[in-house]
Amino acid sequence: MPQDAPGPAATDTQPVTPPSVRIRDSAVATLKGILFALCGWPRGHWPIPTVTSLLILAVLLVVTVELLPKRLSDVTLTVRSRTEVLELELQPERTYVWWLPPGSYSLLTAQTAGACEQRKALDVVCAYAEPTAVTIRHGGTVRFEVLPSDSPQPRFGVALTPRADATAPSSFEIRRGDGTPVQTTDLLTFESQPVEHWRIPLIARRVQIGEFLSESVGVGDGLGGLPHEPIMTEGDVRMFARSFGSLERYQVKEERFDPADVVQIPAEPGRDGLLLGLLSLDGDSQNAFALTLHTDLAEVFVRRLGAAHKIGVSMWSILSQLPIWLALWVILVSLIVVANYHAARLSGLQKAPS
Amino acid sequence: MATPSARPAPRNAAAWLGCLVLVLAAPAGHAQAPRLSPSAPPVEIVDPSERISGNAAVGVAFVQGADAIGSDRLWAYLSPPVARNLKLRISSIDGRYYAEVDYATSPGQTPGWVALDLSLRSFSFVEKNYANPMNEVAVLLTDADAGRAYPVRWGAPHSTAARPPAPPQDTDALRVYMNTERSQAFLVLGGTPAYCKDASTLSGFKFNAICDATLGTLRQADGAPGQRVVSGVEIFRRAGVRTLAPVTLDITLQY
Repeated sequence: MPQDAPGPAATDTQPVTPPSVRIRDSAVATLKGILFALCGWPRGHWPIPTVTSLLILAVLLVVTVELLPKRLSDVTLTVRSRTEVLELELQPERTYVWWLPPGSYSLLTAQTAGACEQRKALDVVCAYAEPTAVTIRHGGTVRFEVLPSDSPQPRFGVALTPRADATAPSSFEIRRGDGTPVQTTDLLTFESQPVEHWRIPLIARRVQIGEFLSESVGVGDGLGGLPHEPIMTEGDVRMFARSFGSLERYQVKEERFDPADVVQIPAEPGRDGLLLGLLSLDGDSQNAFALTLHTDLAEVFVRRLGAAHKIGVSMWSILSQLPIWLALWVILVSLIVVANYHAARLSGLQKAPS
Repeated sequence: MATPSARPAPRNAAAWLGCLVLVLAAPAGHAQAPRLSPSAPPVEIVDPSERISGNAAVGVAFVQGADAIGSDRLWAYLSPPVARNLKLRISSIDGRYYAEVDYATSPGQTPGWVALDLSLRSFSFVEKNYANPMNEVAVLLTDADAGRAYPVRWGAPHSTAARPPAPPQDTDALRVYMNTERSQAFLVLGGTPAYCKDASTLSGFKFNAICDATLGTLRQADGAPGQRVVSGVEIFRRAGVRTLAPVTLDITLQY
C-alpha cells in the first residue's frame, strides 16, 4: 500500500518511538507477511490456500510420511540366493531336528559314544551309511558349506559351534533309527556323501550368506589344484509391503546381489531377527545351496570390499505405489495450479485500476 | 609369512634426528617408564592396491576393558630371555593398514613392561577407520631373528603414565589374533575347548578370529613355587571332519 513519505520538518517534530514498540510493529508486520504468503489474508478477503502454503504442505507431507514407522505397512523381505556357504545363528529357545544324508561326523567330545571311534584326544569320528537326525538344543552357530566332489552329485559340510552361555549351553545329539544317540556339547562337524536331493526348513535369528574371497586365500582342498573358495554366486532381495487394512502384498523394491557379495540379515551387528526359509541342495543346483529366506525386517546389509551398503525401503517408496496416494498428489498439484491461477488473476485485478 | 612389499616411509632426516635428540635428552631425574625407540625408519603401508593375507597368528596382546589404541599407548611385556632385536607388526583386520617397526634392546634390558615408541606417521588412519580397534587391529611383537612373541598391551599413554601397567595376573586376558583360514579354531583350557570367535563384521583379510584366555588357564600347572610361566599357546583347528595341525604360538611369559 503506498504511503506518504514524511518531509524533513515533520520528521523533526515526531516523537521518538520506543524500541519495544518498534520490535512489536516489526513482528506484527512479519506475521502479516507470512499469513499473506500462506493464505492471502488479511488483504480484504477470506483466507485461501496459496501456492506457498501448498508447497510447504507438500514438503511437510513428504517429511511426515518418511518418519512413519515401517511396521504400519507391514514390510517384509524375501532373499533368494545360490550360495556355496552360509552361516546361521540359531534361536536358543527352539529345538531343531534336521535330517542329514549319509556321511561322517567329527566331534571333540562325545558323552555317549555309541558306534563312534575315538581316534585321539578331542577327535571322535562317527560314520553313518544311512541318514541321521541331528537335534540341536539351546542354539548355536551353524555353517553350511558346499564341498568339492568328484561325483556329479554335490557334497556339503556342516559345522555346529555351541553358544558361549554357561547357564544354558548348547547340546547336539546325533540319532540313527533306534540306535543309541551320540551327544556332545562341543563343536560338531559333518561331511556328507554325494547327495541327490536334500533340504531342510530354516529358522534362525541371524544369517550371513556368502563369504569374502579374500578370506579363502591360502586354503587348499579345491578341485583341480585350485583353492576352495566358497562364495555366494547369485541372489536377490525383494521387499514387500501391505496397504493399510488389506491382506494384499505388493512388491516395493527388488535388487540383485553380485557374486562374492556377503549378505547379512539383520543389517545391524547386534540385533536379532526372525528369519524363516528353506535350504536345499540337489544335483541340478550347480554345486550351490538354493536358499530362500523371509523376514519382517526392512533392511539387509551387503558387504563387499570398499563398498558395504544397506538395502532398505523408505516409507515414501512404500506409500507412493498406492493408487490412493497418486490421487492425493493429483489433488494437491491441482490445488497448486488453481491457487496459482487465482493469484495471477487477483494480481491482474489489483493492477487494473492504476 | 607373506612378506609385504616393503616401502620405507618418507624420511625426514631432521625430524628423525630431532625425535632421537628429544628421547635422549629426556630429564634423567623425571620418573619415566623404560622405553624403546625404533632402531630404523618404520615401514607403513596404508590402503594398498593389493592386500596380502596374514599368517596364522598375527597378534598377541593383553586386553582389558578400558584399553584403547593410540600412538603413545603401546606397551610390551618382556620376559627373559629378551631378544636383542625385536620386530613389531601392526595389522588391521581388512589389510588396509600394515606397519613394521624394528627395535634394538640393550644387553642389560630389564624384563617387564617397556613403552614402545611407534613413530608412525599414518597411525591416525587406524584411529579413524576402525570402530572396534581392540578387535580389528592386531599387534605382534617378536624376536626379529626367531618366532618368539612378546605380548603387548594398549595401556595408558606413555606421556602421562608415571608408571607402566600393573604386572600381569592370572585373571588378565590374553588375546590371540588368528587367521583361521575358514576352519573352526579353539584353545583347550583345562581339557575343555574354548572357541575362537569372529573378530569383527569387517572383511577378515589379515585375520578373522580372536581367541581369548586368561593367563591362569594358560600357564603351566607344574611351575616352580612362586613362578608363573606361560610357555607356548596351542590353537587347534578343525576343517570339516579333518583335524588340522594346531598353530603353536611361541611365547614364554613369566609373571
